Amino acid sequence: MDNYNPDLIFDLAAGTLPEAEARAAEASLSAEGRAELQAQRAVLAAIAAAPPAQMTDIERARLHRSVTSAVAETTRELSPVAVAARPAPARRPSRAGILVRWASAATAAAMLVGVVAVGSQLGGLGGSDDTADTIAASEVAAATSTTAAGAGGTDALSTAPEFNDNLAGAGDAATEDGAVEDSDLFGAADELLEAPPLRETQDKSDLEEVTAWLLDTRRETRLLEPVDDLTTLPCYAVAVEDDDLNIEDGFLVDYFGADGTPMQGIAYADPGTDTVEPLIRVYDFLTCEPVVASTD
Amino acid sequence: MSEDIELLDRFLGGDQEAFNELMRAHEDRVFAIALRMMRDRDAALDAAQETFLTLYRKADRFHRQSAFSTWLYRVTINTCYDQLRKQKRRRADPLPETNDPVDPRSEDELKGAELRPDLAKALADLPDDFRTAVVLSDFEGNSLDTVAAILEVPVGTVKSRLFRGRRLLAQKLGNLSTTSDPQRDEHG
Repeated sequence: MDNYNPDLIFDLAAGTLPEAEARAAEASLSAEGRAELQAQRAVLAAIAAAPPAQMTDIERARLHRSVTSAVAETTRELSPVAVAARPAPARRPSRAGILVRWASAATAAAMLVGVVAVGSQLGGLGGSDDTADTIAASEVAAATSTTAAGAGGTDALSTAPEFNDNLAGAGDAATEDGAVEDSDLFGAADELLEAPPLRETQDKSDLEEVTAWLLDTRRETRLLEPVDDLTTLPCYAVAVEDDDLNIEDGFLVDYFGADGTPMQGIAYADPGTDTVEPLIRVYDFLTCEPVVASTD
Repeated sequence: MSEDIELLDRFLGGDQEAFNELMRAHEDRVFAIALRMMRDRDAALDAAQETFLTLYRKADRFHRQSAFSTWLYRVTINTCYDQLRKQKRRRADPLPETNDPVDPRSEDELKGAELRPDLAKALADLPDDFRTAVVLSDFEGNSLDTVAAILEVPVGTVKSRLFRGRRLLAQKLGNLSTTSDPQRDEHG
């Protein structure tokens, strides 16, 4: 039980009580209450003595320059003014669609994994938006089987593309650099499938749309199965510990062991926020290892 | 109509200079909050940059049910949370490398503007909810009502977080025994 009233201590420390009332209240405090009050006052005094957090002139100039530069890049597409002026398109023709592919990867145990990877602005790799809504489920299945059959022993934790505006750049760079893991991820265009494009902002509704698309593919491929009660899954606690992952959805994912045995994992989806991009990460069901991680 | 709202309306009407004025009006507070939350000056600048980009992109999502500054500081706090999360996921695009001259303020001056190291560390070690309440209230001087509005929690919750946050700070600074009633210090 408390030997003092925290509300009273709070008010005394804040100095919001009338003087007479405060004096009487303070006199009535237990030893523990007095110690608490002293401690709270000491903290407030230390904070009051702290210097103000001010930008230097150079920092201010950097901030102005960086914001101005970023704004200039996005003015046409992202400003509320521009959005309002647009004829309310649900999808922006200037953006290539999100590419979804089922890449494969192997863990240290050399397992092969079906990967869900979603990105946007993959111009040059993914074709036009016109095709985004018309991808046949059979193509998904074909790409999946191609991936599963042709995958090698790449590092499972190497990379899977995030929902990332810069994915095209990453893919191009990977091609130019000839990196093995990246070339696996960004290899043949026919392994890349387009999902509905992200709109001008990446927010939860975008993920929901993509998720719906993924679920549509599941009807054909049975590759993804939504999980109602994530907390019952053995890897959930592990995924929760990954504090960069804010789990809101989960799917069972079929993948293939090193010997080709079908196995199951779980893909946890983080819808992202205003500034954190959505992400799907796949965990092996048996080991709870993140067999496919984000691009770190 | 407040000056902020007037500027916001001008911005939404296409006046770019109004956005610049909004930024100039709030950049000091945004940076101060970010610095206390992130501890690192570069990270604070990144967070401030992201906050104003969010303002630029999503100003039309401000529904005017609170003061504009309340909304903007909420964006700042959420951006800081995101940046802290993102530090593990990947580095945010840093502010562009520059050939800026050496800051005319001396290193000693900058150090003098920093928190006492023990206080800075104690603050950084606080659970996010407590640190946010302490930063917004005790460092930035916002009223309980304003902090409650920024965080979208009841005033009683703010008081509780402040009390417990200060209590943890006191313990870390050696001003209070860590053994007294420890269960109250649990986060949440």
